[in-house]
Amino acid sequence: MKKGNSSQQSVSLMGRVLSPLLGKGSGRFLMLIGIGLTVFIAVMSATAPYLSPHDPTQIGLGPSNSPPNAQYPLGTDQYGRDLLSRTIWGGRFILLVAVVAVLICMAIGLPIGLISAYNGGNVDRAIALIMDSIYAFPSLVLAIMIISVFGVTIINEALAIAVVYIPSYFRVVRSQVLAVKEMPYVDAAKSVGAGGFSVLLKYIWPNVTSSVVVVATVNFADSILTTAGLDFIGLGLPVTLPDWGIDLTYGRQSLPVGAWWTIFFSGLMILLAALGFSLISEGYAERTNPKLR
Amino acid sequence: MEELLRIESLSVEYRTGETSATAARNVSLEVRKGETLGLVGESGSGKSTLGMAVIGLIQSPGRVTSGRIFFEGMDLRELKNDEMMALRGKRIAMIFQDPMTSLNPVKKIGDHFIEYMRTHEPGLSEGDAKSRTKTVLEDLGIPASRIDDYPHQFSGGMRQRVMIGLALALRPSLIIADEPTTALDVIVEAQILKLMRDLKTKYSLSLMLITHNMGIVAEMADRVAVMYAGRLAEVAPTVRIFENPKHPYTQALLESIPNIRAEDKVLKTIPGSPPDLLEIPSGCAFHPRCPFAFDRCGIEVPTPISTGEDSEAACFLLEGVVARHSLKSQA
Amino acid sequence: MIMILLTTVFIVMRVLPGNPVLLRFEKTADPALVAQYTHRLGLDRPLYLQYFDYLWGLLHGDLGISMAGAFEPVGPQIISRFPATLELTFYSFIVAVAVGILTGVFGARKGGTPDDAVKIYGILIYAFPVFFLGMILQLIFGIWFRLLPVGGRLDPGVNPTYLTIGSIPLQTGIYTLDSLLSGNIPMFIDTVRHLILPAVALGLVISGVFVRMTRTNMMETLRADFVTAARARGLKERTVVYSYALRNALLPIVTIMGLQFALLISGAILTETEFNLLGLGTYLVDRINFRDYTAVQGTVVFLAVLISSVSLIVDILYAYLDPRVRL
Repeated sequence: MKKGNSSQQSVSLMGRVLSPLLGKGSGRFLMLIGIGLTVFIAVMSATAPYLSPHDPTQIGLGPSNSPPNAQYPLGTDQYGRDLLSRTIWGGRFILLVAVVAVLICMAIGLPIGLISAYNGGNVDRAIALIMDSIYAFPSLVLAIMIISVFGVTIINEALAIAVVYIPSYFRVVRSQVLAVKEMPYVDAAKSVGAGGFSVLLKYIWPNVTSSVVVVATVNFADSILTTAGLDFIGLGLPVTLPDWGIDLTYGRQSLPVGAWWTIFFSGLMILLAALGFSLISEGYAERTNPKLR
Repeated sequence: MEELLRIESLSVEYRTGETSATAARNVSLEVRKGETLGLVGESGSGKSTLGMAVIGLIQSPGRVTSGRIFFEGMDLRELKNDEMMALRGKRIAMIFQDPMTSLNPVKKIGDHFIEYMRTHEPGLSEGDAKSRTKTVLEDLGIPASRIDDYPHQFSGGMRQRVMIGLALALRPSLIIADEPTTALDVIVEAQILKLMRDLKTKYSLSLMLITHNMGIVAEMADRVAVMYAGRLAEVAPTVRIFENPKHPYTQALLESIPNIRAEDKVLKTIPGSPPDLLEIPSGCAFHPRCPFAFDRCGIEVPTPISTGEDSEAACFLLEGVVARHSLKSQA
Repeated sequence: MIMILLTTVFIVMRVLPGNPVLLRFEKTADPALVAQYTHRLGLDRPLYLQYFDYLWGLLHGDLGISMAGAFEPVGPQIISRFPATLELTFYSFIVAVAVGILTGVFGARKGGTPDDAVKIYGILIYAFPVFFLGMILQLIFGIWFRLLPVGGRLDPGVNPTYLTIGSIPLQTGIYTLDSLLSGNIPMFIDTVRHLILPAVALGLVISGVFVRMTRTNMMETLRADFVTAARARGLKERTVVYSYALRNALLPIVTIMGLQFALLISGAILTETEFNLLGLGTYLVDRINFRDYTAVQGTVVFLAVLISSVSLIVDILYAYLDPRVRL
């Protein structure tokens, strides 16, 4: 047992997180496809200014609602804007909000969970109750509520989404801490003067990291869908900016004439972005949880 | 005694992807009417697999790869699915190891019986099934009033009684009991074993008792079959097995039973460990651990030879003995 | 728990923004108008009193007053829009559960390639933006093939009827129900035709979770001892799969149904927008665009209470289904 622990310590955090990538199995396959998708979309969004052939906001560039052709490979929307450019640019806001949201809720949820569970008592129980209440609430509604009052900025939207996911991290950490807290080796460490807290950290670390990866990737996927949804109903970005959700709002108006390209590519990108993270999550969970095979 | 069940050269394999593990290899056994056959071996010896094969519940990735199973004259492997299902529970029944997980948590105890009875006897009314169930429960020492209780309201011992009751309710000819008392404490174990003995006598059943516990075998079995790494090592009447075991493995097994009266206080164990079923040693599977092994043991697989009345063992050591015996008797 | 939600809503909508009236009118506000609104809405009272009013009002079913000029009570407005959402949610849920459980069981039993397909379906459909799926369905069935209507609850010519007992109108607002109660079959058919696409879109997306959980639980349960023991008794395979395996595999799924309802509400908001259904979702978005904060608050409170109630019902249902909890 001692030997095993010390070799665990020597494996770096990155090593532990990435280890499920090795070996065989369908989990790995799923993860790789997921990573491929996310990297593709991330790179595309990051290099949009260089990649995009035209200005995505320029109206009247091409004929209105023209199908995909050689000049405009993804077609044009009702305002004659190039859909290829809009699709390339469309993910930036959504991805940015997702990243900020996940970072915020990790930064808040994990420490709170750790400290609250460690100290225990009624405070811990009260916080857990609050967390459970928030957890059950639909993120979209909460986001709508916050945005309606505070307006739309990247931070606001990210905060609104983050709030609903904080409980997930809180729970993950708390369950680990509660499981380990009463273990004799924690007391033993305390009795020789080691801070109980740091011992706790050392023992919960391996389990927490793999759970956090799964939760984080699911949160990413969810936040992408929520942000796109908010954009779609008009509570997101100002409508002049290129965004997949907004494209769907506009494209919808062109649907009756059968202009499928006005919605298809943007919608597809939202799907692929969410799917990418979901696949990573599924694959990772499968690799780290033997029961799921 | 007439034979009820005859297993002929049965082999069972578990295959996952590229690898396959042989759970049972070329096993031939019989269970006679009215007897209790004790089937012993360590974990991985194939004894449970044999039991599952008889009742036809070997599921993928496991397969019966060869051999035949004759029950009351019928070849079970030739039967169609629904024919086998009709046999299960009615003529051949099984008792499982862990009573805590063998009952449906959301079904009342009584309903387990009623449903089961009515499956095999479609004409049976619910009322009749219920009264029969109450009779069975009382037979088992469980108050009939508990017919509407749920499994979690019963103790482990009582649940195992229920399992026994379920196995016996339709008076099957053969009961296969797979480690029926392993999950129970010794006092409850004694009660369960007594119950099984009483019911066996009362209803003239045949019992295939699978266990790793030589003590239970000594108490319950008429004959004993010893398995190792999926093969039959030795089979003989109980008394003879204990007094004069022929196979080195059987001898080692018996020696390793802790004996409070033994002179040396060191616990005897069999050196080494049971083989990984994915890589069974060539020749006789026991040879790496056998104190008497010689060259031939690692190359050829010994087949069971008669070692006396109603006894067999699969070991090359015995060939000389038998030859000498037959020479002697000829002389 | 519900108290926490209610308080949170109060904090976000009333405390944090300061005076919602100012928000509504922004800079162009005539101070007299602002004062009038503030007073009329009770926003000039001390905060703790406002909180008390808020809770007290809720107990009496008072969800506040609209800021949209006419100061109409929000409650009745919500009630008039709720049935559409309820209808959509209900049928979507049925689709989700039916599709989810059946495919989950199918995948768990078959194994191999069909099972992989089921697994992928589960992941894929859950990542699908529900409004995008809605659009695709509209495109295929409404525009290309002209089989089903693209939006709304009824065709323009069809008037909703309802049952009246004596002189008491029994109007639920749930068109499928009202039409059946009043014997209006053409209305029923029309409602169903309008419901198919949105219910399928929302239902399929929600089914993702059910598929995955059913599949995983079934795979595990099918290997359980009591299932093998049941087979050993010669019970029919169908009985074993449904009455033994599925019955137990579904138990943990009931516990997440409360959460699924929350997802259903989110999805309903988006679906209603997409299909032009006049339900609570579109009402909410509408009110936000009009900066009618009190109405928004009322609606969110209503949803919070609704979700909490559903969670409670689910908990009770679970206790009924699992005898181990009951006794």
